[in-house]
Amino acid sequence: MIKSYGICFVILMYTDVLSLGSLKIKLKNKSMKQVNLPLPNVDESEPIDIKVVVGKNIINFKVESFLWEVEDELSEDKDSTAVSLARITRLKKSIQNYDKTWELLQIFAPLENSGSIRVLYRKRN
Amino acid sequence: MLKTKKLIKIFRSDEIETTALNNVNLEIAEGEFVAIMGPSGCGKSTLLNILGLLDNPTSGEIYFNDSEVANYSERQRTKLRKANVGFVFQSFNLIDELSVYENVELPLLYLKYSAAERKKKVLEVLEYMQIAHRQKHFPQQLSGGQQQRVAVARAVVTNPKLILADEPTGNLDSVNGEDVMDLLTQLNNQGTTIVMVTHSATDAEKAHRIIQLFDGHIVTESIKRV
Ligand SMILES: Nc1ncnc2c1ncn2[C@@H]1O[C@H](COP(=O)(O)OP(=O)(O)OP(=O)(O)O)[C@@H](O)[C@H]1O
Ligand SMILES: [Mg+2]
Repeated sequence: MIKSYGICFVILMYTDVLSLGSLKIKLKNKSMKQVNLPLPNVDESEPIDIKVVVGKNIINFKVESFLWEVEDELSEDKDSTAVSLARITRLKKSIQNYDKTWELLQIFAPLENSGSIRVLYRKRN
Repeated sequence: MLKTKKLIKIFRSDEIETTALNNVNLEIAEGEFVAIMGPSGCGKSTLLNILGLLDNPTSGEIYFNDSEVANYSERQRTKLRKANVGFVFQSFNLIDELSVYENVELPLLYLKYSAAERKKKVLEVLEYMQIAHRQKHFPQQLSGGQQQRVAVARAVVTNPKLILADEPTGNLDSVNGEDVMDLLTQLNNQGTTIVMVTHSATDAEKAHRIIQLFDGHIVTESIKRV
């Protein structure tokens, strides 16, 4: 950074270390952390498999589709609180019962009036 | 460090009643890095505001370092918060009448740092966040990403024990976002407890534990394989 004091320029050298009290923070080298992929039109109930190959490393991802429709469970009581609770209970069960060799990364917002909900998993190694 | 029991938050207006949090039980240990994820409207900001003592739950208990804070007076809460918590708000909450420099200096003023110490800390953190060249500007003169970097600077400048960050990278491009995640990770490695709300699975990877919130409920928690 160059600061001007009258006609004289003082060049201040900054190191890439920030000190906060007793803490020291270093600037690090960066690398690419994520890729967004456009998908073709897919059936909302169809799981999506994604295989990422980087050199010799293979990482498997899966976008699962869990049933989200609860009409069958709720006989009379159909107010929004009951629906929300039934859906959450169902979602919790689906997640609990899912193959544990897969790690849950993200629950996507369900589409309006959709009968299913999407969840992103990554294969554990 | 933080614990909640049966936390419930209901927002009531004339006609509508919204249950933003429903029976949230949560425990966050000192030194942990926890990410909270979930779709828009599921209660993430509400939870963070309550954890940061900025809002009261409708019912339930909150413990901060083992003391129940529900019955604290406003003054006691403010004192506890200013001494311990750095907050990055989703909508930044910068003070429009103050310059970038003054916004970041403010928490240091509360904690009675000397003028020389304040100057050193503020400039250093603004430099790190690469926003020092805008220090004389006012928040309204900055882009969303720039305001976010100022908000992060303000949250970390006091070196708080706990940082609550609501989508701290939401308005940043990937390079700036990575700087913020790097900063949070390094602060955490050196002992700062961090609770971060995020929509990004990539950012959540930096956390030790990911809590998935849905419609005000904790649906699942995952512990990161280290
Ligand atoms: N002050 C308020 N008054 C009334 N309702 C509110 C208030 N604040 C939040 N809500 C409602 O509570 C629910 C949870 O809101 P919250 O801001 O916590 O969601 P969020 O998970 O942070 O969403 P986003 O990802 O969009 O930021 C929403 O339905 C919202 O409309
Ligand atoms: Mg929010």
